[in-house]
Amino acid sequence: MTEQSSLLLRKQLAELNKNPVEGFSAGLVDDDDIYQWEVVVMGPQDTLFEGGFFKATLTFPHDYPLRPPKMKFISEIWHPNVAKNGDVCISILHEPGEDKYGYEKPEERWLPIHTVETIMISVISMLADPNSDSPANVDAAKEWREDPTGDFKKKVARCVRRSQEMAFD
Amino acid sequence: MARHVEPDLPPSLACLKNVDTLLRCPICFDFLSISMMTKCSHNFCSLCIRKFLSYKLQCPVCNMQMTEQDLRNNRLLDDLVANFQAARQELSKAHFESPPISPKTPASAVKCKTPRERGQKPSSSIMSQFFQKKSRTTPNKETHEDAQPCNASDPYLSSGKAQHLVIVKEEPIDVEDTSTLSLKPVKEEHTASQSFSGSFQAAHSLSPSKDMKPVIKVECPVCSVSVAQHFINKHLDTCLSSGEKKESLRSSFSKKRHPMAKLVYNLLSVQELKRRLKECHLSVQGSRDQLIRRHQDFVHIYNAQCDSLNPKSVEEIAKEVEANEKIRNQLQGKTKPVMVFSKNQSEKEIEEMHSNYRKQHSSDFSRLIAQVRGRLQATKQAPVKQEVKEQKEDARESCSSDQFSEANFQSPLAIRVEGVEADAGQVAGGIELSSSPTFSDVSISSSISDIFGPESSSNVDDSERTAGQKRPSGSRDGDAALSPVMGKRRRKT
Repeated sequence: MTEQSSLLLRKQLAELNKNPVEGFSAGLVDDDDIYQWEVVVMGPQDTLFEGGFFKATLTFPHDYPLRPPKMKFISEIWHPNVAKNGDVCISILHEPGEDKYGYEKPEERWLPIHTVETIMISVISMLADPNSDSPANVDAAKEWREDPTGDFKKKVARCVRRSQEMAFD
Repeated sequence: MARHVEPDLPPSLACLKNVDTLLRCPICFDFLSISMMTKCSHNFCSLCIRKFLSYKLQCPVCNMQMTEQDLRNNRLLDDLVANFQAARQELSKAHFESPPISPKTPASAVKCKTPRERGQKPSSSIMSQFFQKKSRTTPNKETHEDAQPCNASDPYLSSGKAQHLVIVKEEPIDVEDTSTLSLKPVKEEHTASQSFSGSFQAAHSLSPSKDMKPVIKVECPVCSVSVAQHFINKHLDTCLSSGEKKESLRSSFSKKRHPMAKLVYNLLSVQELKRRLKECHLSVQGSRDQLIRRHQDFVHIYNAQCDSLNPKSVEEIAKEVEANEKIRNQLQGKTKPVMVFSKNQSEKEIEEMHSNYRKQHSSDFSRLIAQVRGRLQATKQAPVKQEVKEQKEDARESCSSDQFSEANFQSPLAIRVEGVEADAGQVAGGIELSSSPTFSDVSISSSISDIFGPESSSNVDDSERTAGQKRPSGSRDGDAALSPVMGKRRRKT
């Protein structure tokens, strides 16, 4: 099982290097540890996040793909579905067994057929289209719902600017 | 889940890419190993799907509710996989032009044999069963078991066989006891003078008592030997009087191994758990959780092996379980979490940890940012230039391992956008409302292409180019089907 997970992850990394996907790039934190990935997500165009380069880590469990990885933004990001400590809270990253929020449809939760590519595509679409029904950052969700062009926009713009500054430090 | 890594298909065989993808398990992305089909017609490796079903009782592809009992073998796929793998090896061997493949040739020559072996094994075991029955004159039970060396010492496997052998051993004795009944045609030759119930030789038999009327023969439900109708009751009495035969009546219907039942571990005492582990030839060391995990792993692999035509022995499985556990323990000792957070940390502390991490890994991240930027640039390239490059890229992509050079990004990118659009177009028709994640995946990707496809409107020049870029994508739909990237997208649909 363990060997299976590392083989599968290596395969996915090789595939991503060979056929890169728009909008993000991924690599390993440490070449000897296939379970820790680093990714950079590009803010999708025509959204408030456009132009940002958001850094994040993906941590895979040893029984991947039966259980989902955890994703954590380490760039500051103001988004209803990203907790203030950076944890990404989207339904496909929730473990198959649990339903602690009770609102998710089973088909939206983690399935072993998901790959790094499908996860990142979901994350990018989450940036483009926040879901304020299940907020991880309640303040951001409230701002986004009540006044998406006011405080929310300002805070996001600041994150984007900072991520650009930090892209080169 | 085959453990070996296959060389990539050479570019000239891109037409086989779809076949290659279709024969892979959607969970482990390896070639299907002991493929099992669900009620909803999705196929997985037996072990992969059984492991997943211990997390959740639904099909991983379409979310249909299902249980392990719903799984059925799909042996045609197993044969297809074996044959395709062999063909794939042969073909990649034949392509000496591509240097990365040639060093693997010796290994592939060896691998080519596996499908043939697989094909033979089941038939040879069937044959050996026939031989066992015929050679019943040898009184030594040991010799039969020697014929199946891997099963001999294995209680689970040999139990079925052993019963078989016991019958075989006993038959001659029965014949001697009853002396009126011949149980087998072979025996009949020796006892022809007293035999009433020959099999195929009946007509030529010298026996005087049956030349008047043809003897109607019935098959004994216990030992499945043809017996004259008027003797069947008598035969049955003797047949059933032997205890082993009664056993065989129950077990003879399934020569197949039965899957092990799932245990409710919470209800088991540690002692009971250890007893069960011993039964499975597993170690009884470790904490209760470790014992449970060990037994669970064993049950998964054992049950998956039950689906195979020639399952591994209990010892082999036990070894596998313990080897896996070893690797797992090594990994657990090795991995250190990147960042450790506790609940009562303030936002500032967290932010500080993040910024430390960013500083530590700044070189990694700048490389990643350069990559992602390279891709962005690539999409903005003029479409004319891209088309020319496309063909070159396809060829270069396969042999060059330098994927980070900017030039290499261009073609996959262009095709990717097209591929996504084509895919979305194909499925958009009837399945929009489908709850399946596969399709929702497609719809997500199409929305991504909406986001990334059109360039930012701030630059007039750029938006014009984008419009131009879209044109070739339409005309190249046919080509896209052959492109490797397209193939890759297919994997998920």
